[in-house]
Amino acid sequence: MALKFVMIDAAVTVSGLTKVFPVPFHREPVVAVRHLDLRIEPGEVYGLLGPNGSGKSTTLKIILGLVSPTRRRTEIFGRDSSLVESRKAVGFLPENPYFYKYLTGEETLRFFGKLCGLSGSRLRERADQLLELVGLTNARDRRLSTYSKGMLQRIGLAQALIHEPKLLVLDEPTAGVDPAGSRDIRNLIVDLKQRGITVLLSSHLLAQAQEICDRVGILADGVLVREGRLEELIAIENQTNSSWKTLPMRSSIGSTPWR
Amino acid sequence: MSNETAAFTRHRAFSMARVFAITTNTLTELTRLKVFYVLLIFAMLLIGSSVFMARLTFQQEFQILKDVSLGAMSIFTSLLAIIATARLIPQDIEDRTVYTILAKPVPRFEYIAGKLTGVLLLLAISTLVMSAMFLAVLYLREQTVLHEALRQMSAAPREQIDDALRAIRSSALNIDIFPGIIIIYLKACLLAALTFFFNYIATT
Repeated sequence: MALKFVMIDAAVTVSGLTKVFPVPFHREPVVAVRHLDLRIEPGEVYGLLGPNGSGKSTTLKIILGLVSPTRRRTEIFGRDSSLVESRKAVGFLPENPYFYKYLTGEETLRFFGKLCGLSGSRLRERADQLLELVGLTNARDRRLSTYSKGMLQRIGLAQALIHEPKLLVLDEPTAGVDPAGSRDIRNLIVDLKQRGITVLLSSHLLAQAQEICDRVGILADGVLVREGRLEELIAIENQTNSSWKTLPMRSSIGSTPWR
Repeated sequence: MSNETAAFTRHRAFSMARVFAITTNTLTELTRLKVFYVLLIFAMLLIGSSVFMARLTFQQEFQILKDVSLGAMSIFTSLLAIIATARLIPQDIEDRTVYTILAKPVPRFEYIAGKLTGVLLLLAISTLVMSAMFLAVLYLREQTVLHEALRQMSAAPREQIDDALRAIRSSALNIDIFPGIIIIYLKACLLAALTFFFNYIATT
């Protein structure tokens, strides 16, 4: 009974998740995620870190129900991710978001709001609030084809929040955004955390994750190699520098320094 | 917890509002494409220009007008059906807009239904616009021919005039045109559905 209560309470539960992509005409399939366990508590900011191709995006897509897992399943607030209704509680900002460029900023928010069942004055108010929140009120009537990358990222964040989700999933939220833009996004995430929204984000920038994440999980070749508070992980790294050499992650990031 | 449960249970397995949102968005997407207007204007020009085509009698004139107009409508709705449908879903997948849409509480069949309805609505609108143009041209020519006939036959007996006018009317605007237009629309819908189907198989 106690276990059941705990299961419902978590914002995201992933247990023993495996995803295998078969490669046509090849005997060896690609294993994107291997026996992954994650548990994200409501109200926390969780960072999924790792180099490119480590399975971060695949994990996020499985959590969102966009990709079906090969083994086991994931849950959002106790609901199976494969159920459409589980998406009522989630907002998603994909990597390098690309929306319908023939729509204006306001039309984009109204479109996504309608998909979430909003309408009438409630939708109008919500769109106004979010344009204000992400600082795009002046650009609301401009088509997205004229938006800069940072502006697209911000409208993407606004559409993810349109239905007041309790969980926000952000895939590389600051990729390709200039330092000022990524600072804005970071401030927004901190602001959302203060409002009690759970945030799950993926990133390959350790420094940024350090600033905003309560906890991080480090993925390498689809395996969760480390999990915990980032300061603690870094402290361990400094003490036992040699142990990092044995991590599979080390080889896949090559000479790229993480800090 | 009770709020959360309420939010979940309020979700409807099928929502016309969501399908309608995708439909109108598809329609906006297609009507903001240049190719739509190019095709429509080209078809209009063809229908309009058939007025000036060579003819000997009014029967021939109306026949040519109908042949050219219905032919133009058939070709352009078919072209539009294929062009509009072909890029619809691959574009969304390529641009990854489909992820943003399916990450919302939208079942996949609603997304597909919305997209397809958008194309069928676009085809209906273009068929209506072209038909209106065609029927207007036909009506105007009919009136001109009627006036000419009246002028030429002013001295003829009443019955002869009535016969001539009836002949003109029956060869111009008549009820047989409408099933023709409906068949053109249905043919375009079938083409759109086939394109959509093959596209769906090819991209998934």
